[in-house]
Amino acid sequence: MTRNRRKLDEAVRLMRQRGLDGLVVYSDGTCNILRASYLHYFSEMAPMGPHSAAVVSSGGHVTLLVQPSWDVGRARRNSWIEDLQGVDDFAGAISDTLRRLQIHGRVGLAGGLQMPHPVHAAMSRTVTLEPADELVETMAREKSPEEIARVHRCAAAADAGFDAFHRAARVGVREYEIVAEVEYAMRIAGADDNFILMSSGPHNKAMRAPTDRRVAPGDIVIGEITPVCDGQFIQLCRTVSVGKPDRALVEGYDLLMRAYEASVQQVRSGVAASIIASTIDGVLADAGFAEFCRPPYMRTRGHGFGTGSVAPGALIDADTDQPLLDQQVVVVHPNQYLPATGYLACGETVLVTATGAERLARTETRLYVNEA
Amino acid sequence: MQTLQPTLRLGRDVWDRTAMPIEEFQDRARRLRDAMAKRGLDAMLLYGSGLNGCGHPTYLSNYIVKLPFSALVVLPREGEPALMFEGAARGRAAAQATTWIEDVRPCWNMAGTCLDVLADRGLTAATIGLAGLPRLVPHAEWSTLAAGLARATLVQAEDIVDGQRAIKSPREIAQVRHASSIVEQALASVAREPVPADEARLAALVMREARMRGAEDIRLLIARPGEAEWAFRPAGEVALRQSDTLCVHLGASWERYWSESIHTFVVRAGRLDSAVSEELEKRFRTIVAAATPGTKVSSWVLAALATMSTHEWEILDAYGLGHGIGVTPEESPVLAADSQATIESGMCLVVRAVLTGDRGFVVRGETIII
Repeated sequence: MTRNRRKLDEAVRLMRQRGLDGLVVYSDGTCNILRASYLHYFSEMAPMGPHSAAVVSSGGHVTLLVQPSWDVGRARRNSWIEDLQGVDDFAGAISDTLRRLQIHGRVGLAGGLQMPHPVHAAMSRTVTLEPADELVETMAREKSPEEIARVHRCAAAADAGFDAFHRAARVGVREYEIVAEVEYAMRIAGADDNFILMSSGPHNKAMRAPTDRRVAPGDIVIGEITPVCDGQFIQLCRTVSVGKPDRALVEGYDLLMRAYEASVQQVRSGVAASIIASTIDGVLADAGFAEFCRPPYMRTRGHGFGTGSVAPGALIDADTDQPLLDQQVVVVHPNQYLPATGYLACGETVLVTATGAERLARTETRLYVNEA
Repeated sequence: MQTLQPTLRLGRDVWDRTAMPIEEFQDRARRLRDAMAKRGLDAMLLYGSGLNGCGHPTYLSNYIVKLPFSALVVLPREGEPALMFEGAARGRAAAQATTWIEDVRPCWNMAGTCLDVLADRGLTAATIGLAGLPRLVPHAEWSTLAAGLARATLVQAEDIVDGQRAIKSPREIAQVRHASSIVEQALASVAREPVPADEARLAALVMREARMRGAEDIRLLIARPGEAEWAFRPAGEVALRQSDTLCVHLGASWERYWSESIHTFVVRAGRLDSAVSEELEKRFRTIVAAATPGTKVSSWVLAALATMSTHEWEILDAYGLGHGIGVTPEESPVLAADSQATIESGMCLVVRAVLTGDRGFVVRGETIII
């Protein structure tokens, strides 16, 4: 018996529903903010790679293949899957496992978009593969209490990260030093990985990786502060004015705050995800900035976050029709380029509930000001 | 050494054109083209994917993936190269600022974009050398590319790029030396501070020090020789107590170039002291001294193994004696007994050694330059 059969039982149920003889949940060892980490979600272990996979039979047997082979002890401690193998020849091992578990015929493949051709070709000699990302997405849609607890832990790390960002965004500090302080604060607060983009200057054009540039008086420092706790992301988008903000910045940020608040008020389960984008765009269009709500200035107004699912999507725009679901984690960010101020960062991550959006961070979204 | 990969390469991102001028990359392209001519290749495709696997396109273009996406350089034997990378069109300007290649194409369809580039250059029926393909290419992308190149002759040519990358230029060596100084100073910094409460805090301190020194990317693993089923693993919320021994593996990159080191520490009187004895240092230096140009890697590995007991070698076996290092944390040559490679001047190698004693074992690793 496994320690936790819930995921296995659900996977088998969904496989049988689709008439699949087996399921392979694959990872190339990468963790991408824009993609679900199917194997991390399913196995409850962050894979190192270059190749790892869980192989599930319709009879309810599951094997976890782990690379590098020396990482199998960590898998044993972290994953609920009991049948574990550290492997060197991954293509050979996965074909052997399919045979051993007597998996023939149609096999669902989750994470297959990242699977290199040689591995795919080796498996295809034994079984008929078909995409099955949505099978794991379906499983991941309902968040467990442990996942919700992780969301809140991650939010606390994001608050710590913003505190560090606010403190570090001062005259003379280099951009990469700001990132170093933010990363350190979030790791101390429990994050095991971080996604941080930022920019400084009098007129920023986008957020990016940090450079040698030193913060100067009159700068606007913007940041996307995103800790990761065991695969779960939370994001804060914040702006700090170094010195007294001019009227254009105050008015511009006030506009973004109005767009943010209007869109968050619309968030609740059952509402189309596009409402986030259309509400933000509406506020900005009313203020005369409609042309800046389209590429190349803007692409998305938010996206979902989750280890096993980025539902309702890695991109939320006016065309994203899927309804928001209860307990989804969604970042709402009316980040915007304005001609008078440059690019400004504004937004945060919320938990979708039946009655509205639950704020996750303690620190508030507003224009912050540091002395010049 | 394989590690968990971050979701974003978030450190200092600078192309110092004095340290790595355009002429450096043009020289790399020239040498690749010379090798292509010898094999009758009309073009080469240099493909990479993910933060650990994007070495080929980075080597030629200086472009680096920040998120775990893919990149590809088409290098015709005659004519201008093209760089394509997975990403939105708005990323084009930022990418152009990091590369000497003028034809830069962000895309979400790598295979289709590659076919467009090859068609633009009249190369869809040419003899094309492959580096990183299909080894790293997602199945769907490869199927599209292979179908689109049905009239071309595709030839494996990764050894050309691997061989060239293995021998570093003086400029590359300077970058690796800088990365090594970041690694060593970051590891040394923890010995100056009171011991943190747990491994995660230790990792945070080391990474902060490396970032403050300009590290572009960082990898850190910890091993506890005292644990029953010990192995290198990510730092956890595991307390650091008096007399604990821990091996810290740190890799960091500086302006694309990596260095790696392993230090073993012991917790004494609230401090982290080095656990590397004179005997281990002497063993390590003996192994390194034997890595001279012209020596077969296989012979050198056997000589290195002879300095260790069977038990000591078993400890190191899973991780190996070492490997090349450069624009990726792990590259050719692999330091293994079955290697066909020869040690050459200009190689940058990660070398590891182990020594057992009364209190378990101690690991020492470092990046060396031949």
